[in-house]
Amino acid sequence: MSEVAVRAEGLRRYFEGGLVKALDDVSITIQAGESVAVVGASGCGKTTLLNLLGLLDRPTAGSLWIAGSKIDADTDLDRLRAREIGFIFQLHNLIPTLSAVENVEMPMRALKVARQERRERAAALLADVGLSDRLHFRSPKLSGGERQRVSVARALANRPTILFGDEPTGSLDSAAGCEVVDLLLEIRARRGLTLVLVTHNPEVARRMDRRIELRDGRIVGDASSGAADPTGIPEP
Amino acid sequence: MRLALRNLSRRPARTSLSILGVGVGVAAIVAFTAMGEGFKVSIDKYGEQSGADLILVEEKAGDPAFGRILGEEMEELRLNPAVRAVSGSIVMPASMPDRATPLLVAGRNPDEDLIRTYLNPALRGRLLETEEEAMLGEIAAEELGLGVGDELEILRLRFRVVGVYSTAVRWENGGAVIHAQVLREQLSMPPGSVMVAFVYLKDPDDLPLVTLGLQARFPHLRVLPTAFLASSFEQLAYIDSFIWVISLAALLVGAIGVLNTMLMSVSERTREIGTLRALGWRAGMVLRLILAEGLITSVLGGMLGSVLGLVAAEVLMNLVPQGLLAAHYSWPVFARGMTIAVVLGLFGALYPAWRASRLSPAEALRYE
Repeated sequence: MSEVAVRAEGLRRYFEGGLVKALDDVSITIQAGESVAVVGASGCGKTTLLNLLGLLDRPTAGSLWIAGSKIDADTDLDRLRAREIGFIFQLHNLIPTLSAVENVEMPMRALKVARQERRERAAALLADVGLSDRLHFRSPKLSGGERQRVSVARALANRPTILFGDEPTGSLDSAAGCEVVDLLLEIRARRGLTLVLVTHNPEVARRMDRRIELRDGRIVGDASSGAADPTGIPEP
Repeated sequence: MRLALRNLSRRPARTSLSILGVGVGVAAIVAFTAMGEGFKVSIDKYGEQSGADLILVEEKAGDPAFGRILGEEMEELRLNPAVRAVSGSIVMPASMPDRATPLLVAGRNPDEDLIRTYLNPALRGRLLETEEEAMLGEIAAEELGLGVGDELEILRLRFRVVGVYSTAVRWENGGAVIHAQVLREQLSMPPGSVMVAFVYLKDPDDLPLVTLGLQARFPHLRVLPTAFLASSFEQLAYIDSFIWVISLAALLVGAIGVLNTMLMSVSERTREIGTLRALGWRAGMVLRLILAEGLITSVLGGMLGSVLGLVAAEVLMNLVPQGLLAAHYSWPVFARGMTIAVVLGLFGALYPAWRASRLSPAEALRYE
């Protein structure tokens, strides 16, 4: 039996005192090593779900387990996030005044990794994503695809077990987007990571093991990418 | 710290202006404190170079220049068995037609010990001997373009300059010395009276006993060991208060500058702060980063302000003729400036840092 990377039961996230139900009664289990696409129309709750699973936000109600840890009011989210989770954002969110290698070092600072080790690990990760010749380039000097590669290397900095991506190809042209997805799948296979991507791109979703569809804050479809969608809901 | 420096360098114009804001505040503090200290040091040197053991001033006169010690009291002091000699001082500002500010004229009796203050190797010419003679301080002589043998016209009287002196007291070097009797007549003071009495003891070891004795005998006078002359100037307390008011104003203005800069910076970098939180940075790390940026701004502002303050004090001293102002640069002057800079930097950065650290990562990442 494989390990469970993410488990959520009856997850709810309300805003404005309950007037806005961004996420309503969502239950989901993601096995370690799985690749999952979260799809749905804009405003359906994809990013809210990602924020909760990525420990960037706390649910209004429901239970959540991440990498075997039950999340409750006493859980040190910062520490768990730093150790177990890597994030990739649509707009890469690199710090423009820092070089590529310094950006990759940032998550390691959260775990107080020694300077020398930080630098060595960051350089190795950048080499791993094909940017060994861009270590000291600042993000404005890099192409869109290169920036997102730096962002991938940064997400891997603390050797996480789960990688979350919020539209990681959303700001890239199709060729660069394809390269980034190739890279993510290759890294996931090599490192045995769990990969959860929010995407609007059906092609990206198709390349994941599993596709979870949200509508109005609820899961309306959950199927392996090869299988027919049991809900019959057309792709966005 | 390195990241904080990088962040500050992102907006060089705004960071520079913020540093300048802190710098100007600190410069005001440094300049005024240095000049206040300079005034105190000048007074202490004035007392010290007189060679006297005790100084007597009128108790109720806030400034010794407004005090009077009568001729009879001077005579009684001279007759005290523990006293070797007594000298008197009178000071009066004398307006001059070609000068914006008056010349500070001191009255000295040529027969008294106090005149020897000017008898040092720097003296050109000789000490004054008669009521028709005058001595000029070296700064005043240069400003007036006069030297030994020239004629000085002040108080509607003409004096022959017989000496040009230099002492350790800047404002004395910017003034003139004439016979005490001439000033006494100008000020309609009673015969033999003075503004300040300088007492020379036969045995300096008698100082505590004589001080107590004289204080009991002359309760309306303040009897001070020479080293405490500065304490008889009530204006010094006002100067200190003025410096503190300036310091507080600078603190407020500088803190608002840093606060504004850091608030803008935090607001612009909300998504970045959200990213750092998403990468595992704790709220405390974000707080320290913003505080470090405020601290760097204020320390650089403090350093700039120290230099600007020094320059400002020198410029002010040269703007005012006669060497009326003297600046004294000691490490506490700069320490005060730097301390205030650091306090205002931390104070100004505290709220933005707190705000940044309180941002929810999810909200911060949503920020447009």
